[in-house]
Amino acid sequence: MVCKLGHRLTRNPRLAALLLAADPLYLVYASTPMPDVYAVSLACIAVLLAAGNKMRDALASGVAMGLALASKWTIAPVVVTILYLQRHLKKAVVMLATMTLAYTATYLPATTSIHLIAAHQLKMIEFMSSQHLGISCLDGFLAILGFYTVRIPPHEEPLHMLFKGHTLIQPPTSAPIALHLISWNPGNLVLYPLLPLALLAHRNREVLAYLLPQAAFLLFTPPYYTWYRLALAPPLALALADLLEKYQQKLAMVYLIQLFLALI
Amino acid sequence: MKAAKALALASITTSALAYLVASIAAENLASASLISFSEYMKLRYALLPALAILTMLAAWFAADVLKPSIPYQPLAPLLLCLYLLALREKLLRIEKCSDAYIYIEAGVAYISGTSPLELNWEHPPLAKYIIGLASLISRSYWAYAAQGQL
Repeated sequence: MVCKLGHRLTRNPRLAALLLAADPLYLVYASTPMPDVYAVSLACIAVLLAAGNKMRDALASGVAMGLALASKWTIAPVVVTILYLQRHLKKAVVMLATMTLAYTATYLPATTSIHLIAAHQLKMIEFMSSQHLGISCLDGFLAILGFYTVRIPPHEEPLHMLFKGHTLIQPPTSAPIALHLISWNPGNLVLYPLLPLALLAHRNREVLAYLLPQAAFLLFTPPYYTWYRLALAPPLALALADLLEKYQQKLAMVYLIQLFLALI
Repeated sequence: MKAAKALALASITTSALAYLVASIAAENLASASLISFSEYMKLRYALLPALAILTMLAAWFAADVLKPSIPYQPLAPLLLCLYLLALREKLLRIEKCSDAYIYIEAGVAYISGTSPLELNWEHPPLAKYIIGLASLISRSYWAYAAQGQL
């Protein structure tokens, strides 16, 4: 899917696919049932469809994006990417409408009451905001840069999972968590040239701009959950492949310095 | 041009060395208990990232000025070795998420008829439906455990 996306968005789609396939984070989470996996896959389909020109592409993209959001909310920044890819307001409105419908439709096995569905959204917000505390945006930013290792417990208190009739408690542990934003470590430091270049690419509507919404989102997510990074891997693979194709010579020099630092 | 190249080389070397010295100093001061843990963390929070950013900017600047004719290909074996090292570390050290078991349990319950509105409000239900269905089809250990059959 990334290779297919790459044909539309990058100069070197095969390299993008290879980077993603070789991503250790993906190897690890391939065997772990997490909602992120479905959310990222569906969001990739949504972006692929959003790049099409016809109205039916916008409709299908909205459905895929709605299902992605119904898997996990953390994929929400991709909505910005999809809207960014729409050239007409009408298509953007259709996309948003089908996305909302598809999201709501996932509740059909449980209820048809809009009131109950809305109440569930509020419950989820309440639940998540009461659990995800403790680390600031600055911590997240520094962790993303790869020079700050968060030690758990990141929370001051154990997590109460509020499950069924009983309360599961996730006990704090002292084990360090290695943080890998760009999970093909030790290429972590490539982020330094990548983000400024993504900003520059925004002007020309280049592929690197695709990275922006998710990268910005990740700056504000808790840095200690490695699976949050799964959402960044496909756009990062695309962007990195594009970057390597375009700036081979310059990046070779930067990589040398990075490897030196990584070895330190 | 010569002056620009010299400046680029000087900035890159100075930044990299400053980074090296600061890292070693922070580690040694902490291990010798000359600075507290919180001071060590402040160093890691502020000084080292700042120096690292400086080094990266210097490297980018140097690459721009020097316009090196470094072919990318010879780096490949080195990158591959580092990748394999990182992969090993990752596969051994990444902590698998305990939340996964909760999603299996919730997913199996959803498939069995429990409403997502009543149980596990962590995320919207679609992925948990898929996980629950897959767990039941594959007759996984955790699906049986969730149904209380173990």
